[in-house]
Amino acid sequence: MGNGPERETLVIPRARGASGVPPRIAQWLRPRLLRWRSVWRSRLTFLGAVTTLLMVLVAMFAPQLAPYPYQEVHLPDRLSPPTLAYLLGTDQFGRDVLSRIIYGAQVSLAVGVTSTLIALVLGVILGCIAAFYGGWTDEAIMRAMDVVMAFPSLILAIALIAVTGPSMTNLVLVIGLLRVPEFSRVTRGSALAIKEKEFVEAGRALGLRDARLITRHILPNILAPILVLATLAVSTAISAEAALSFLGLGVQPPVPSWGQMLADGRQYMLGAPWLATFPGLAISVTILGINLFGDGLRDALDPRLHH
Amino acid sequence: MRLQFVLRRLIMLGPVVVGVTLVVFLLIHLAPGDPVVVMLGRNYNPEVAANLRHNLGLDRPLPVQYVLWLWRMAQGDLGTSLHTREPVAKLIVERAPTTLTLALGTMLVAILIGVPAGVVSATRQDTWFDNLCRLLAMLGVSMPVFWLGLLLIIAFAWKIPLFPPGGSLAQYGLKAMVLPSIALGASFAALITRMTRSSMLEVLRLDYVRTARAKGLAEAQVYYRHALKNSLIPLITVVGLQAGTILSGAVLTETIFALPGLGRLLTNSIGTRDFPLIQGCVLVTVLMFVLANLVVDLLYTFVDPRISYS
Repeated sequence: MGNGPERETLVIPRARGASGVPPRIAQWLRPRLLRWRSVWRSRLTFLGAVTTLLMVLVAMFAPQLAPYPYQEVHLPDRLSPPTLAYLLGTDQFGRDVLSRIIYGAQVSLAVGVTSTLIALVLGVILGCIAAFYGGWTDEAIMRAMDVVMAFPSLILAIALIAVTGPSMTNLVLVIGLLRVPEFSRVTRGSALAIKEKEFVEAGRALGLRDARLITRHILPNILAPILVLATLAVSTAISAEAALSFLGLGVQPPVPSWGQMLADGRQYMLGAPWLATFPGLAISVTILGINLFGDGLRDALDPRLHH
Repeated sequence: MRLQFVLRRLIMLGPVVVGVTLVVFLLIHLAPGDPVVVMLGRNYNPEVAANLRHNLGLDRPLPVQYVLWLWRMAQGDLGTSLHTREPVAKLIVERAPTTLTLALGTMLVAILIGVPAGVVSATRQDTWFDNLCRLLAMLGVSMPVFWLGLLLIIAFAWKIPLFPPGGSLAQYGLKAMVLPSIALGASFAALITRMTRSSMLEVLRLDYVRTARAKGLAEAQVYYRHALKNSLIPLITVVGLQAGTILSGAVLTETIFALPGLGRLLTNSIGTRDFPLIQGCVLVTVLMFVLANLVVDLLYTFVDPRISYS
């Protein structure tokens, strides 16, 4: 989407004296700040970032923001449509839908972020090992990743959770493990290119250990694509959590989850459409926000797009 | 050269199929405790358990079990459903046409919406139409299929009763597939719009398009006869890669619209803890996905002769 009008100009340090920043740091900082400025200048990316931040704040301050505790039952007000007392209506047990959506944000973001962290850590470690050592190690790791990627991810997730039993831990582990191949592929691809650079060669010549070479010299140079993938992976994980909870394989009641609320609301779809509409809207807005932000991040950090 | 590639691709398929079958086979062993107890529940009859253990070959070493299981699968014997006592293969064959029809309907919806929207979006880059298409595409990708499905039921089965809210092909014919195909096709259409747009924008900058314009062709001819053909090549990859998403989405779509397909069979089998059926459904779905990817890879070499797989 078109770039918005230029907002404030960022003060970018150029030399020591003017801003007090040493030239080496300024040199390092300048392109990075410029890239980030392009992120904020796109209206949709900005919108995505604001939406994402809002969701994080809602999840963090759920007890303060929610009008009622999520499990509080108001039997006389069962299936009440949106009113001033219950802004988004109540469910079949008389629980406030808004409060449950606010607490549901905690579940969605917790599952999204934790499973992405699992995928990121394992994927990056495996990708680095595959790229750095090559040969049979590389073949073994990447072929194992191929096998995981050969499965439609939701189908494998359903099967794994059906067998191991639905719980928050299993949900996070399964969603995280199924995303490992993507991170390992991206890491491997980027690390392979960096591995051949002179500075890595120089590090080797200086006698640096492999672990130090990988963590201090290779990893910092391949962070951009991993960061973009991680942002988009959070939205996929939230979507997967909602889908699995919708099928009854995710977070178990009474803890509220958007997918599970939607599944419960299905039975009252015709008489009480707000039960399914609002949780669905929450899922869509959150995923849309993270996707918009992730897309903007990719545009800013992908060097090919700058050329 | 092409034959070599086809052979190499088929050989590469071997390890993936072995890996996939191994994962599906091990699924049942992932369950905490004895698989037979998991299948029968805690209050099982020891005699029935012993019989079942023997019938499933669970009293043999694991590698032997895997080979025997693989041999049975290769012969089309996917076991017997614990719940209905019917052969799993029969149940799957009965349900597969519904899922395949849904997949075809989804692709049709996605291509019919996605390609024209992507082309117009690219040819009118940065206009209000382009911006609208891009926003809608982003929205389409972000909306969960099970939510869109519910909204479609409320709108077009309840408020304006044009289509059935659910039901099988046998009950309502192809009408039963319209809303599910739109629900599942929306996110796919969004992806195709984005892909067609970016691919078209890339092609429109190429020299041969400039040549076409220079020789005086009308813009429509440049777009549709020259640019579109080449920009659609990546569509094949997207369709192949999205086969998995469609199969995954089918589970949710079939649940919402009460379609008797493979996805619903899988979710029902989870409810009844019917492990042979779960294994069978997962195996068949994965093999369908692997096959779709193979076809896409092979098709690519024929459609785009510039690609060489050396």
